[in-house]
Amino acid sequence: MSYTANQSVVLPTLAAEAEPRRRDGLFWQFLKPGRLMFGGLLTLLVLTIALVGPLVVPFDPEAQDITQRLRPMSSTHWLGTDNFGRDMLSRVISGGRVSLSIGFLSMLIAVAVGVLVGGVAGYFGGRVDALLMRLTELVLVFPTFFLLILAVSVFGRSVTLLVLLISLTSWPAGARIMRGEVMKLRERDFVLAALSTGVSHVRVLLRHVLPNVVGVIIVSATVRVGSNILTEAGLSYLDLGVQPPLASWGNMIADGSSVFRTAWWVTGMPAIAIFLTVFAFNLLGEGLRDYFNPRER
Amino acid sequence: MGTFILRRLIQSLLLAFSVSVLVFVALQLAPGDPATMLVDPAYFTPQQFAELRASLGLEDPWPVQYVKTMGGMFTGTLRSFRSQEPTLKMVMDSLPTTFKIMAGGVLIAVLIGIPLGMVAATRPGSFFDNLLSLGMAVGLSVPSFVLALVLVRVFAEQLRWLPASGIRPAGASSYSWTTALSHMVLPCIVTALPNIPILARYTRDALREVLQEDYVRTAAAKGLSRSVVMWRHMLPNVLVPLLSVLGIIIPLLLGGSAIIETLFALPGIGRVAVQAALLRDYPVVMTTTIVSTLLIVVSNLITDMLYFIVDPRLRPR
Repeated sequence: MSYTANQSVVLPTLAAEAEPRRRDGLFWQFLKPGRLMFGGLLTLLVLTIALVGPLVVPFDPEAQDITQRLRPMSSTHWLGTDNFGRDMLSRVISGGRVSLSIGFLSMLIAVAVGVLVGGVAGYFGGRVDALLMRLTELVLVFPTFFLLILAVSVFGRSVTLLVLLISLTSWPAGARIMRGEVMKLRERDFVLAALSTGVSHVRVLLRHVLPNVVGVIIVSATVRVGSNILTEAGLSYLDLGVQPPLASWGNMIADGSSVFRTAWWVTGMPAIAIFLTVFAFNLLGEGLRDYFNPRER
Repeated sequence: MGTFILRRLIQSLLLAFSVSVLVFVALQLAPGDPATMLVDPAYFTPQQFAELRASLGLEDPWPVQYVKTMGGMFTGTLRSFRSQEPTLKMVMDSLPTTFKIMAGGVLIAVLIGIPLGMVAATRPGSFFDNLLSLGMAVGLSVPSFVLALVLVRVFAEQLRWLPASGIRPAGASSYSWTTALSHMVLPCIVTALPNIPILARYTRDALREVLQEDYVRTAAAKGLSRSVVMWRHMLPNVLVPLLSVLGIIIPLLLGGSAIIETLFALPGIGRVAVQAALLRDYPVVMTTTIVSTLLIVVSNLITDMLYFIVDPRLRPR
């Protein structure tokens, strides 16, 4: 499917001149059936549910009702109830807000750090590059999960710490990609031309280099949200992440795993939610990658 | 060559040193007296506590403290405050289990991922290629602990084909190697799953790049069969990018071991770390962090050395 989408790129640029308003912008790509469209729709759906859901659901995610424990899916409780008789639908939605917020916030920090470090290292090269890359290596050799475990055991569990730690351990991948792209751009004529006319480094970076790497940044950011959600879920599952009563998808799965045999939905619903969300972001990321780097496909 | 290895070795040592300093500083930054971090005051009399403070040299400057802590870790005087076992011994005893599961997982991932990537590379844009990239997105989106829960439910509880947890039958003193193997099947599959898509994708992308090389066209043009071109001319040339994937996978595997070993009750380094963290057993958590970092540093070093064995062109002159 993505191949039909890419054919416009193969065509000579003359076609573009003949038809000034070509319909191959990002918006039009979203309308073609493919990864971009399905990933985009699924992501939109997940985000909409997380944003609008709490206003619509009839139950309080924390309200316990011992008479309604472990009820299967029904017209009152669409996704059933958990061990304390709490409505699963409300919990999946409010847990999703927590998981998604952690995923997004840590992605934002990680991308900001990654872009800055990678951009500066790739642009200036030399000693700055060597120093920053040593720093990147240092973070990369740290086994992320063990670092998280260490930090949680020393500083205790908190959502802020979780966001900081996930972002602090996940920026190097983005920084490396960014560095590679910037190093390539650094030697391009338009950058050299800008520099030779006396434009400052900051301006060259912001006006000439950054716009050319936006695609790469968006792709890695999209995929990063998904993997951050998985990290949070893993930590919360191990009881080292988000603490009850605050629900997150990870600790909901941990809650439900003891009754998995008799009431699969208590584990199953948050698990499906995680899967769909991460899948949506991965699909969207792949679609965006096809769009920004048609040659790599 | 020799000087290059030496340089990498020194770099690795520096990395390991920086990590240990960072871990040490993290423990210093923690609220409370470091002595209360290293032992549980509830289990210690004030006199023992004072002795410990003295033996830890808490009056010493930080660098001296650092050397003493690290020295204690390697000589075995640094002990878990729960079991009183030397932390290094606890971690070393746990490593064989972790290695077995990692090796099994990598083996499964290689046996499935690389062939999938090979097929996808030869048929770009085909139904299979699209199906595979969909499968990859799916494989990367399933949390490993969910997969584990489902597999245990199906294969251990419903079908009763495989044991659900542990490294050996409970209470058994002797058991056959097939039994031991059966305990590894589910953990290895869970370990392998997220790595299959990674390997398949790298294999596919690397092969596609090689596919455009002149020597591949030459080989095809002189009438060699597709399989000879693939196995003799193309595969050896994608070994280098595949090795770099191993460098990415090993840290992931070590991280994943925390979840997988906890879930399957396997006495590996990940479970040791998680349990120690839940008990606030800092000496043990510190040791697991440092040892796992050392493992990654060493595996990176080995990967680098392997590059030169696999591809002589990369050897520095």
